[in-house]
This record gives sequence, structure tokens and C-alpha cells, in this order.
Amino acid sequence: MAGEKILIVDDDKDQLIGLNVRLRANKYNVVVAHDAVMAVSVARKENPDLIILDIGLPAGDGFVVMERLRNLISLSHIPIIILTAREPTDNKERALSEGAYAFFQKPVDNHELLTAINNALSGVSA
Amino acid sequence: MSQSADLAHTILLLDDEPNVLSALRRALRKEPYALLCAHSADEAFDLLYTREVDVVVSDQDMPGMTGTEFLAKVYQEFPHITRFILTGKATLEVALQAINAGAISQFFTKPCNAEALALSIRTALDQKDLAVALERARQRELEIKDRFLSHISHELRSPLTAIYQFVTILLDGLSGELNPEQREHLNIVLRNINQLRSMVSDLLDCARTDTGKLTVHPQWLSLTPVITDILNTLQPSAAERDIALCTHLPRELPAVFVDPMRIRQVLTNLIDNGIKFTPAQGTITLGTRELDDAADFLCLTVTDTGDGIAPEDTERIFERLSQTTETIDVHRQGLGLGLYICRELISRHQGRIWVESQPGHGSTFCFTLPRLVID
Repeated sequence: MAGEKILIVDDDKDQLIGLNVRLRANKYNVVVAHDAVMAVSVARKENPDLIILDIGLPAGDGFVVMERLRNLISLSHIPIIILTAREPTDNKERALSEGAYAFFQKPVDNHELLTAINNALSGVSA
Repeated sequence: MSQSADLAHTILLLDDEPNVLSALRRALRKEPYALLCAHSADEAFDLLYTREVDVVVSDQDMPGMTGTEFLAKVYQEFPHITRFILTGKATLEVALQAINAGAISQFFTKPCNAEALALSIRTALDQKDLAVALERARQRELEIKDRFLSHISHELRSPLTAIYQFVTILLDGLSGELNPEQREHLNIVLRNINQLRSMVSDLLDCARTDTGKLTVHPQWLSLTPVITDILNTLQPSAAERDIALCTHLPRELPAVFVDPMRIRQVLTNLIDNGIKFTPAQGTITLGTRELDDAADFLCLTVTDTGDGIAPEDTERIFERLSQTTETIDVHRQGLGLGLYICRELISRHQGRIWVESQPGHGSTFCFTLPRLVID
């Protein structure tokens, strides 16, 4: 199970480091991006197995990133977990309907997030 | 009969005598209203059901139904419509009856003074416009408040997330072994982070009850795994206060039509409250109850062995910011919004929530959820 590559997209550096530590401790390889443009370019270069994506980002937002990835055939299959401080009321339904595997509001319980990552990587439907 | 026009206000005139109707129309001809005319109460109701009407002017003496009776019915069905009555015999008795039964705004004697009638209608409509404008302004203010609170909540969540991440990194030993004292201290930090997190959520939920944005997305759900999960989550904080969490549930719970996230929120809140307000060695029991008058609903109960709630407070605790004076002094915790939000959420599931309590003997919080009924 371990060793899969996860791309974290978040513009908050502290959270990026925190999540990086957590995921590495769970034996995942981590690559990071901190804006919408970089998210797509890192995804193309690294071809991650899963993407953890914030919504509020510089140079676009999480929805823009999702749309761009969907339009790239080689990347359109990558499961995306939305992790945002924004309200689920305004964003959850939209994120899921636009193809996100799961939606979590920050701060998310570690166990919940890791379970979702594991499920997404094992191809368990959300 | 109507002069249809895209005018802002519509006046309905009712009189069985065509010449009175014509006189009324002439009187109001210069005013910028759409005028609808009816010769009978039935005809008037047909118009009321199909058109937006702001003011009704009705004759008192008509065959079939008096103006008072007609306006009383209008008041019942369309309370927002301003009602005027015209009568040939304006005795005090008739006037009082009309005012009491139909909540009439004003009385006119025939033949009525056209200018006075027009002025009264204008005044009534101005008042209405003002009320509409006020309501719009209130909605706008609520929108701004909602956006502001969303923004604040977002801004508070970001640092909270980083704090949570690193505290759990430390607690899980990902940056080195901890000694027991360090672990204990970090657990206290974590507990406070969780409190802060739920306060941020409550604050926003509470603001959203005003703007109608506190929404639920129900689906058919089995409660058993949800309950197990919640109890597992709350077990540590109950154990810490030496409180036992028990269940007294039937082997199989019927499926319920609920929003999974919201129902988790309600149950967590109720059990968490129990933990907060129950002294050490107490028990919190999650159970169900049969309701004779609500077979389509599952009634869940959360019973604690705390101090109980005084009878005069059993309604009040579900209101906003309602922790009673005593509890504020003794164990003030949280914002006092939890039960209010629970009530709002349960009512959005068509259920209801209440508490039964005897001071000194604990409390039972009960709430109902729409259940699957198999005949």
C-alpha cells in the first residue's frame, strides 16, 4: 500500500509542512505545490497517485485546478481530495459533482483523512 | 373586468352595485394602480387567488355574504392585504364588528369621499412599501453578516489547522518520543483545539440560521455505524471525567432520512453536553423510545445523571445563548449555541427535540428523525 505519491496543493506553508510530515510518517511520497498554476505543472511532471487540493489558491482556485486536470487525459483519473478552510455548505456539493473523491473542511481529523486517502488509492468508491 | 397593467400595486374593488364600482374606479382613475373589480365575494376570491392584490375595498351590504364576513375571510387567507370597508349605514356596532372580525384598516361611509379614499390607499401602500424596503435592508444586512462570518471562520480555521497538525504530530511521536508529562500537556492543548474548532463551527451555523443558509441534505442512512463512531470519538473525554457512555438500543435501528454530517453534529453535541454537565462517576445513556403519536419517526434519547434542568429552563435552553445563570457561574463552557443549533437542525429534518428533566435526577434529551416504515 505504501509508497504512493501524493501531491499536496496548499498556499499555507505551515499546513503544507504539517501535512507533509503526517503523510511521510504514513509512508507516502509527497510532492507539493502552492498555487494553481504550479499544481498543474507539478502534477504533469510527477504524475501523482492522489492529489490533496485546497480551494483558495493564488493564480486560480481549486476548482480551476480540477478542471485543468480533468482536461488532461493522462491526469484525469487521479483521485482528488479537497481539503479547505471554506464552508462545506458553499463548496462540498460543487466539488463532489465536479469529480472530487472527497471533501473535508480544515482542520480535518488525521484518521479521517488517512482513511479517505487509503480508500481512494485502493479504488474504494467514496 | 380588470384593467391590466404592469403597475406596482393592485387594488381590488368589490361591490354588488355596478354604479358604485364605476364611481370607485373613477375616484381612483388618476392613481397609478391596477384596479380589479368584482361584483360578488366569489368573483373577488377568484381574483385574489390568481392575482397579487395589495388592497381590498369592499362594500358592506351585499347578497350572500356581508363585507365584514368577506374581509374576515380575506384576513384569514391573505393577512398581508390591507382591507377597507364601505358602508351605507355606518353604525358603531357594524364598525366594531368589522374591525374585530376582519381587522379592517379603515371605514368609509357611502357615498364615499374620493379624495379621502385615495389618500388612505396611498398611505396604506406607502406603509407596505416601507415594510418591504425594511425587510430587504434586513436581508442585505444578514447577507453581509453571513459573508463576514464566513470570512472570519475561514481565517480562524487556517491557523487552527496548523496548530492541530503539529500538536498531533508531536503527540503521535512523529518528531521524537515524548515523556508522560509532555504528552499530558499536549493532550490538554488538543482538547482546547477541539473546543475552539466546534465554537468556530457553531458561530457560523448560528449566523446561518438567520439567513436560511443552514441547510441539510438528507439521505437514507443506518445510524448504527454513526453512533458507534461517535461513541468511540467521545469515549476518551468521557473517561477523562470518569463518566460511563452506555447504549440501550434495539439490535436493529430502522433507517432514517437524515443528513449524516448534521446528525453526527447533533448527537455529538448532546452527548458532549452530557459529559460537560454530569459529575464524575455519572452515566450517559443513548437509547430509543417508542412514540405512539409519531410512528414515522425514530425517537433517540440521550440521558445523563447530571444535576438536571429546572422546569422553567427546559424551553429556554434551546434558545440562542441560553446557558442559565447558574451554569454560567459554575461550569461555563462553550458558547451556549449548541442546543439552539441542534433544534434548528432537527427541525430541518422535520423532527423535534425536547428535554425531560427533574432537577437532581438528570436529564433526558429526546429528538425525532424521519424513519423508514415497513408495513
